[in-house]
Amino acid sequence: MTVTALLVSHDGVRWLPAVLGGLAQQTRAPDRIVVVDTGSTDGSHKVLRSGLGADDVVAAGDVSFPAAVAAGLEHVARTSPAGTSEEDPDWLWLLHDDSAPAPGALEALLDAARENRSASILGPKLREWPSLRHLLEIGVTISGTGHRETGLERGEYDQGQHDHRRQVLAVNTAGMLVKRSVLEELGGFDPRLPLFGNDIDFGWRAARAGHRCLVVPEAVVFHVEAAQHGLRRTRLSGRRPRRSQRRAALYTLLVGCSALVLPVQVVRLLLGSLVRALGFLLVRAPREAWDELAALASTYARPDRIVAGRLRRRRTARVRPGQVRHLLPPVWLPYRHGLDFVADLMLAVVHQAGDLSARRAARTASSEAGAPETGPVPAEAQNLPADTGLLARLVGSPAALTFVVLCLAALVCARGLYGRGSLSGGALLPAPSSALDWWRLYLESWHHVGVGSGAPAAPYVLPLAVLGTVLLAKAWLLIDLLFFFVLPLAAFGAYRLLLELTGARLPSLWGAVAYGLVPVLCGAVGQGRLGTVAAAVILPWAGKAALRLSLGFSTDRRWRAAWRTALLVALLAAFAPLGWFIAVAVAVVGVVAALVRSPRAWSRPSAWGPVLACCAAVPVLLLPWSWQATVHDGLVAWLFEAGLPAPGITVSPSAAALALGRLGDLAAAPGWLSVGVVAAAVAALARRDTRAKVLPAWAVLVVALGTMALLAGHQFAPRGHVTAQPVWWGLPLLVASGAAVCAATVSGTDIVSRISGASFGWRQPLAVLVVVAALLSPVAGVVWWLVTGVQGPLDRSAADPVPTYMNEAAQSSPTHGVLLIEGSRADGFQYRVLRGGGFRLGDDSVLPTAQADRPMTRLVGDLATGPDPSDVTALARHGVRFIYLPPPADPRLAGNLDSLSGLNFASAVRRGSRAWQVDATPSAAALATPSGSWRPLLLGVEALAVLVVAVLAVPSRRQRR
Amino acid sequence: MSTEPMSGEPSNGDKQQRPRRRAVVRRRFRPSGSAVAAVVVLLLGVAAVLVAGARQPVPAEPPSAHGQPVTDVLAACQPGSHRARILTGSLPDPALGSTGSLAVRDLSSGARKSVPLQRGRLTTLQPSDGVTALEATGPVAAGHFGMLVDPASGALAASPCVEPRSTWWFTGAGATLDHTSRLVIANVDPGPAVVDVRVLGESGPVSTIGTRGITIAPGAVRTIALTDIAPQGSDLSIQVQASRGRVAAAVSDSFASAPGAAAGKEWLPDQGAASRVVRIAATPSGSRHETLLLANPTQLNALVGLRIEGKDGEFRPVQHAQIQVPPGSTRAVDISDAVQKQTGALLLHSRVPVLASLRSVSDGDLVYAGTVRPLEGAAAAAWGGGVHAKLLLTAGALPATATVAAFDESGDQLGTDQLQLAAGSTTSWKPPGRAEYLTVTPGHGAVYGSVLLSGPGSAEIRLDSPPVTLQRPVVQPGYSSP
Repeated sequence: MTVTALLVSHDGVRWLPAVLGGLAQQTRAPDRIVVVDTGSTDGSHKVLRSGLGADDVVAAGDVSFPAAVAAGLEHVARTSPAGTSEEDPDWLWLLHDDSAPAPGALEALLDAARENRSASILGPKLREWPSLRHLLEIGVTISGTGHRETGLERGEYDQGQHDHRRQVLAVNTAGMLVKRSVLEELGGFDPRLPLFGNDIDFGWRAARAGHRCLVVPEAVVFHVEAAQHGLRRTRLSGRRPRRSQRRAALYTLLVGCSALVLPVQVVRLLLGSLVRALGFLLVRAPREAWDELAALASTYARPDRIVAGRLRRRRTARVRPGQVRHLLPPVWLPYRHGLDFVADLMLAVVHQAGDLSARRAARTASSEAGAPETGPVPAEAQNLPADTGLLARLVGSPAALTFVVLCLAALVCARGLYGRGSLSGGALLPAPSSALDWWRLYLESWHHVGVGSGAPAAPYVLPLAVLGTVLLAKAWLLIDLLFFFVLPLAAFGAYRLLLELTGARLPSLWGAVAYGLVPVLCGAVGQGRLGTVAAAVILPWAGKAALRLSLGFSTDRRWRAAWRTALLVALLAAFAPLGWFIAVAVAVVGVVAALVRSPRAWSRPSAWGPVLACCAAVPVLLLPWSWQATVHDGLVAWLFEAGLPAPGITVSPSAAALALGRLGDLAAAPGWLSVGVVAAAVAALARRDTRAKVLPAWAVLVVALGTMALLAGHQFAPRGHVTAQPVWWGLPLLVASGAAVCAATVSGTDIVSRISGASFGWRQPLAVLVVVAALLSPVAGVVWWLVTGVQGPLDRSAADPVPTYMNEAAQSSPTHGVLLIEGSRADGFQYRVLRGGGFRLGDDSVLPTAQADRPMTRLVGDLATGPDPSDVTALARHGVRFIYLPPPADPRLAGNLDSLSGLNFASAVRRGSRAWQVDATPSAAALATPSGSWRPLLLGVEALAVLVVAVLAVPSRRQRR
Repeated sequence: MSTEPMSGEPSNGDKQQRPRRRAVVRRRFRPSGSAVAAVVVLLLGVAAVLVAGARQPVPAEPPSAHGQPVTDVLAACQPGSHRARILTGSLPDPALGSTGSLAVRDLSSGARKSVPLQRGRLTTLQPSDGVTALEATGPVAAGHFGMLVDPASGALAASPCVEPRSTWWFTGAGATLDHTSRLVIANVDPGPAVVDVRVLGESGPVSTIGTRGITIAPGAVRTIALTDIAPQGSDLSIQVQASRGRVAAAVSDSFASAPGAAAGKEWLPDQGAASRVVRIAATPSGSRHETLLLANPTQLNALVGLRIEGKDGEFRPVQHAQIQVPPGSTRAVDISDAVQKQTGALLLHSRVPVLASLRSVSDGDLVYAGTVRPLEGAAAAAWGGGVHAKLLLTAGALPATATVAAFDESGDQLGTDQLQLAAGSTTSWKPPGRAEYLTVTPGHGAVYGSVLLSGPGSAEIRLDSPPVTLQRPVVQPGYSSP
C-alpha cells in the first residue's frame, strides 16, 4: 500500500509551515509527498523547496485545482508507475496548502481503508483552523437547491458527537484519500469546477461509478477554507467567491441529476435562485443577490456545457441515479432550513427587543440611583422585586399615559359614528367590502366605473390595500381606525419627531398633542378628508427621516435617510400628491440656505446627492400613477388629495382663519382654540438661543404658506368633473401647522427655567402669558373635541344608494349597471352609473374623463327632455340595466321615463323613489373599450423601485467573512 | 454730562483717589443675522397668509339649461259627437321648420293613420268615439296645437287636445240628477299607467271605492261616471294622480241650471296644481248665472279673496270679499251679482293653495272658465267654420301688449292687430268672419287669454302657448357626492 500525499499550493505561505509540519508529524507518514504549486507569488515555492526538496515540487503555472491535481497525478505516474491491484492499491492523499492534518490523520484513514476494502474514497473530519475546535465538515452532500449540506450546525464544537464512520456522497478534497486508480478512471476532477464544488461532483461521479465514499472521523484535518472566506484571492476564486460557489453548485446539480429530474431541476433552480436573490435584497445584500443572478445567468447561458458534462458522466456511470439517492439530502431539507432561518430571525428580533427593554430599565435604574437618598428603606421593601408591570410603566411614563388617554378620548369622540356600514360622507366614499377590491383596483388597467375608465388608480390605493389586507381584508376597519385614531396616531409620530429634535420629553408631548389636533380642529376629520387624515399620520415620520439628511451624520446614514425619506414622502404624496412639491420646495430652500452658510461643505455632490436622490425617487415610487396621470391630466392631478374633491364643502378661507389653522367652518373648531399655538410659534422667533433651530421650521412654514398663496384664487377641474373648483389645502395646512408646532416646541425647551431666570421686565409677563396660552391650547382643543364629537358630513352609511336587488345585479356583471339620477329640472340633474359594488373609496381616482362621459351625459339629458325609444337602446348599449331616481324623484323626469317604450317599472323600495328596468339586453357596445396600457410594465418598475429603495433604506448589513 | 473719555482703563492710583464712576456705554443696536432672518421669515409668513386669504376664487358660472326645438309632440283629444271635429295645426311662424308628419291614432279601435301637416295650415280631423291621439314629429311639431270643437245639439263644447302628464285637477264636476260628470282617462303612452282618483265634495274628501291604483293599459281609455264613485255630490273636485306613467284626463260635464231645464254640455277646464294666486279666464258677458267653484285640497282652512278684472279695470266685490273654503272640500259660490253681466277675469288670493273655475250658464248652455297662466310665447286657438270667436285678453298687474292675428284654414292671414292692455283689465278682440284660428303673441307684460266661442251654444278655450322649444336641463356626471 503506497500513499502519495499530493499537496496543491497557491500563495499559501501563511499556512504552509504548519501544513508541512503536520505532514512531518504523521504517525504513518506518506510514502511520498508531491507538491503542485499553481504559480504562487508569495514565496511559497521557496518554502516548499526548502521543506521537501526540488524533485517533487511541480510548478504547474496558474492553473485550476483539477488541473493541478492532474499535473500532480501525471508527475506521480511518471516517476512511480502504479502497482495497481485490488488488494494493495496505490492511494493519493490530497491536501490543500491551508489544510493541516493532525498527526494520526493518515494512519486513521488507512486503517479505515484496510477495514473497508470497498471504500475507494475516504475523508477526514475537518475542523476549523485556527480555532481548531469548530467542526467544518464530516462528509458533504448537496441539496436540491444547491446548498452544500454538512449536517452540522454553524460553529458546532467537536465533542465527538459525530464520530462514526459512514458512507457519504463526498468528502472535501482537503484530506481526501482516494485510490489512484479511481481518480484516473473518473478522469480526475471536472475542469469546469476550477475551485469550488469539485469534491461533491467527484464524489457524486464516484458514487454513480459504483465506488464508496467513507468519512473517517478518527482522522482530523484542520482547514482554513481560505478561498471560500475570501482570505485568498486568486484568479480562480475571483473577486466574488460566492458567485463561483453558486455557479459550481448549479452546474453540479444540473450535470449530476437524473435525466428525468432535469427539467424540474432547471425550473426549480431558476425560481429558487430568483427567490434567493429577492431574499438577499430584502436583507439588504444586493451584492449577494447580484452574485446569485450572475451565477444563474452564466450557468443557464451555456446549456452546451451542461450537456457535455452530462455526457461525460454518463460514460463513467455504472449504477442508476436512484441507487445514490440515499446519499443526497431529503427534498424538504432546504425548506426546513428556510423555516429555521425565519424562526431564528424572529427570535433575534424578540431578543433584541428584550435587550432594548433591559437597557432602558438599566438606564432608568442608573438615573434613579443618582438621585439623593431620601431616607432609610425598609428591608422588606428592598427585597421586593422591581415592578415592571404594564400599569406601573404606564403610570410612570407621561408619554404612554398621554397616548392612552388620547386613544380613550378618540373612542369617546367617535361616539356618533359607531354602527354598521362604512364611514362615508363629505369627501369620503364608503370603503369597499373587501381590501382585495383595492388590490384589484390598483393592479387592473381598466376599471368598470361609469362608462369605463383606463385612468390609473391613485397611489394611495396601494397602502390601503396592504394595510387592509393586514386587517384581514376588512377595508372598513382600516378607514375607521384611521379616522377614529388620527389624533393619537398623528401625535405619536409628532412625539417621536419632536423628541429627536429637542430631546425634551414634556415639550415634545405638548407639541405632539398640538399637532395631532390639527386634522381634527381644521375639520378634515369631520369632512371625511382621507388625504389630510392619512398625511397627518405620515408627515411627522417623513420629517423625522429628513432630519438625518443634515451633514452631521455619516454618509452611509445620510443615504439611508434619503431613501427612507423618499419612501415616506412618496407615501405622503400617495395620499396628498402636493406633498412632493412641498418637499422639493423645502429641499431647495434648505440646500440653498446650507450653501449660503457653508458653501464648501454643501457644494460637494456627496452633500446634496442624498437630497436630490430623495426628491427624484418620489415620482418613480409613485409609478404608474405619476406618469399616466401627468400625461393625461397634467399637473392638476397632483393638486387633489385622496378622496372626492367635494366642491360643495371646499371653500377658500380668510386670512384670519388661515392664520389660526382653519380652512372653513364646516366641522372645524373655533379659531381661538389655536391662538396659543400660533402665539408660541411667533414668539419662538424671539428666543435667541434656540433661533438657529427655529428658523428652519419657520422656513418650512413659509414654504407651506407660500404654496397656499400660490393656489389661492385658482380653480381646477379634477378628473371626471366638468366644472373647476378650488383645491383643498389640507396638506399645506398640516405642514404649516407642523412647522409651527416644531418651532414652538424647540423654543419651549427649558422655557420655565429660562423665564424664571430672566430679569424682570415687560418680556417676562408676556412670555408667561404666551406659555400659559400655548399650554392651554391643546387642552382646550381636546376638550372641544370631547364635547362636540365628530361633526360634519362624515357619517356611517347604513345602506347602498340603490335597492339591494339592483346592487346584486350590478355585481353580477359589468354590463348590468344602475343609472342613478339625482336632482331636479330646476337645479339640474346629476347622474352616475354604478357597477360592481357601487362607487367605493378608490374609484374616485379612476373616474372617466368628462369627454368620455359626454355621450352618457347627452343621453341622460335626452331622457330628461324628450326621450324616444332609441334612448332605451342607447341605455342598453351603455351597459345600463336599471334606472333609479332616489327620493324625491323629479316628477317630470319620472313621467318621461314612464312614457318610454322599452322601460319596465322596477321595485323602488324607498318612498318617493322610482325605478325602471331596461327591457333590452344590456351590452358594453357603447362603452369605452380598454386600449393597450403600459400599466403592467410601470407596475413592475414601481415594485422594483419600492423594493430597491426599501432595501437601501434599511440599516446596512455587516458583511460576514 | 461726563467729559471723561468713555474708553481707557483708570490707573490704580485713580481708583484710590477718586470714587469709582460708572462709565456710560452707548451700545449701538446691531441686529444679528438670525434676528434679521427671523424678521424676514415672519414677514414672509404674514404676507403669504394675507395673499392666500385675499385671493378668493371667482365662482364658476354654473351651467344653465338651454332650449332645443321641439320635434315630438303627443296629445290626446277627447271623444266627441258625430258633428265634432278636431282642428290641429302648427303656429304659422316661418322661423320654425315645416317638415314632419302627424300620426293620428284612434285609441278605441287602435287604427293609426298619417296625415299631412303643414305649418300654418289648419287640418280638420273627425274624432272617433274614443280618444284620439295626435303625434306630431319633426320640426313641424314645434308649436303644434289641437282643439276639439263639438257643436252637438245646441250645446257647443270645446276642449284643447292635451299632452299626457301625471297630475290633473278638475273643479266643478257633479253627480246629481241635473249635474253629471264623466271622467275620461286615457293612456297614450306605450307603458302601463297606474292612477289614483280623489274626489273633494262640499263636506270634504269623498270616500270613494275602487279609485286607487287604477291600472290603465297602454293605449287604453278608462271612463268613470262620477255618480258611480261619488253619488249625490253636486259640486265636486277631482284629482287624477298617476303614480306610474302619464295619462291624459278630461271631465265631460252636463249641467242643467234648473230642474227640468235643458242641460248644457262642456268639458271641464283642467288645472295643473293648486296655487295661492289663481286667475280665471275672462267670462262671457250676459250670463245669467255665474258660479265660482273653489276647491281647497290642503288640510288648512282657506280664506279666498276675490277681485274682478273687467273692461274698466279691477274691482273687489264687497259681498264676496272673503270666501271661506274648508279643508279638503269644494265650495260653489254664486257671484252673478258681483260680475254684473260684464266681461272680466277673476283674480283669487288665498293663504293656502286653492283651485278654482267659473261656471257660467247662459241661454241653456254652460261655459266653464278655468285657470289661466301668462302666455310664455305665441299661443293659438282654433274653432273652424260655423262658430264665432272672440278673444279675451287680460293684462297682469302691469300694462301689457299683445299682437293678435287671425288666419283662415289654409293659413292665410286675414287680419292682425296690436293690442294695448291696461293693467288688470280685460280687452276683447273679434277676428274677421272667415277666420278659423288666431294667434296671440305677447309683447311686454303678462298677458292672460281665452277665446270665447259662440254658435249653437257657448264654449271657452283657454289660451296656452304650445311648446316651441324644450328647456334642456343641466345634466352632469354626479361623482362629487357619495
